[in-house]
Amino acid sequence: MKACDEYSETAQLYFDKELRGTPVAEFRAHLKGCAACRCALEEDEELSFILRQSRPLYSAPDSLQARVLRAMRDSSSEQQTDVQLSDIRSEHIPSDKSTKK
Amino acid sequence: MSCEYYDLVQANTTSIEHIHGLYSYAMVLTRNHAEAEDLVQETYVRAIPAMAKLRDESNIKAWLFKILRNVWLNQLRKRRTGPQMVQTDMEDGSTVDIVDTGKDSYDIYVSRMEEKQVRAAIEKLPTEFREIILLREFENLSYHDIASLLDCPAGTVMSRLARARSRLRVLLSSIVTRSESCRGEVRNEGLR
Repeated sequence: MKACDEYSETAQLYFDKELRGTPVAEFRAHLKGCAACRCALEEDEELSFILRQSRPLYSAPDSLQARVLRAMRDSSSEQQTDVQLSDIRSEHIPSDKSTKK
Repeated sequence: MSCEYYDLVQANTTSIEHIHGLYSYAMVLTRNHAEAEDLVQETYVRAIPAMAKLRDESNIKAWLFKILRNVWLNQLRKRRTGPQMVQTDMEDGSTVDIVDTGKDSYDIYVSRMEEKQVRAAIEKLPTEFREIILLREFENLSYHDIASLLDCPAGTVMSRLARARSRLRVLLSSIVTRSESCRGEVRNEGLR
């Protein structure tokens, strides 16, 4: 069922929460008297509900999740090591300048 | 612990939340489990070094999806210059893990049947429709984010989405049941 011709785009924007400001109120007023638009919205809602119930469309396999987490952990620990080394250098290792003194 | 390191851990935690969405997107694009896994892994490999540099208000989700799409497009370009071998494994009855939400067995059965029908219907759509349905209905991205991801005007997103939904409604007519009662209501209003 399509929304009425005049409001078909507005109906879609409204449904997708992409409509802002005054047009929202205008469309809500229109909805009260337009069965075609109400029907179009209900159909969109039903389809959307069915699709969203199937989320996620595919589940990432555990092995993939493990690989990605490992890569993240490796990258984090490299970053932490870099930070610790730079802390040690700045706090404990005298700079060339100070050694020369 | 440095602020930068904390930001990296935080960004990693946020990004791993999107792994199922990214995998679904990769499946929608490639229709192949092995290729989809490689695509997701490559996406994270490219994203991880840049994670800590992202600003707080950055849309990590849209950014990850953009990386995945770029990696896929690059792979397609490379493949066009070499021998082509496309293998899809969508109709092989492959199992997909479904999270048990505490429903009773009949409800679980019905919802699994519906999920199968939904996947089968989406698989029948052309790539551009599969893609837009996934991004909007499953990943809830805004028109703006989708337009920027697909590098097209928001108007194209809107019209493509409308056509994709219309096609899906036909493919899922056995479970989308509201249409009939709706039409009756509209007919009755017309007679008044």
